[in-house]
Amino acid sequence: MKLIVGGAYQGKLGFAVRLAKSTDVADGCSDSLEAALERKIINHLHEYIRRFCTLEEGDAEAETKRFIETMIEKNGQAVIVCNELGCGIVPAVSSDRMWRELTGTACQRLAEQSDEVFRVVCGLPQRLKGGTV
Amino acid sequence: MMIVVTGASASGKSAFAEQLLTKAEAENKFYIATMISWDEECERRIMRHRKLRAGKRFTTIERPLDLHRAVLPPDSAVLLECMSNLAANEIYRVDRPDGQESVEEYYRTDVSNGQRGAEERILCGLEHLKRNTVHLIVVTNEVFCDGETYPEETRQYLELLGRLNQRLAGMADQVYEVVCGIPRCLCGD
Repeated sequence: MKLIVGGAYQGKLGFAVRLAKSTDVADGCSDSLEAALERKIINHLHEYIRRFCTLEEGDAEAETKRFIETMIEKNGQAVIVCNELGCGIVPAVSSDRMWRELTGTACQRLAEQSDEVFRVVCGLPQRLKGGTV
Repeated sequence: MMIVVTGASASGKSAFAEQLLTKAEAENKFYIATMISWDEECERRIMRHRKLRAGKRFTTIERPLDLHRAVLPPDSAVLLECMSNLAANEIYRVDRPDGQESVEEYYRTDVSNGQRGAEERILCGLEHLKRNTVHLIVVTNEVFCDGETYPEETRQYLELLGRLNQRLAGMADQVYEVVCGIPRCLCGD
């Protein structure tokens, strides 16, 4: 498993495609949860997590955890792309705060499970874990 | 030895900072908490942090303002968490007429004076801690990267915290940034 994080519009997906040598992408903005358990690249992971934060019923934290653990179990070779969300002022809306928290925690868990972790800034990947750091 | 640990919200910086305090060699270990509990969500956050620290034998000192008043015995290691709360508490503080500070009631008055006074008070407090500890670990926050346009008082708060972070890095022996639970050394060994 590989994890790529970074701010919006930094070139994370382009890097993921080069790393995975594939364009088989599950997009958190538009694709199903099942797609995230099958495809080679999972893009916009934070948008998948946002769906759990806007549920009317159910526990967002538990649902997010379940989704992430299932992904680790069933799609352990995936390249996962996620925006860093926690780098601004604390949001005024509580579901946004929860979203930031759950996304951050999910990335920590995925980083633990990944053999490589990168952060992309200005299109430049910085290796945080794996290879020769 | 002074170490600064920065990172985004939910980056894993608290857990890393606590590991540093656990490893530090000192007779006495203190956790200085700067957060004020305003509501249930704050309480939950505080409880989560307390759970993280449970069993680690740190003595907690609650000091939302006036760091320079923290009293520490010799041979102490301190973890100060965190600068974003301390900066907000200081910039928005209200001093009651009888000279006692009010930590319960905050409202914006003259924020520009608050900002100048806040920076001086916080730096004075940090120097006091550095002088009176064998190990000082300071947790601060990356809140500068969302590109939003904020009202003037928030911009002044961001400027205060940004300036403090630069001063902190200047004072420190090591600076780490934690990303997804992974610490990266930005300077020092």
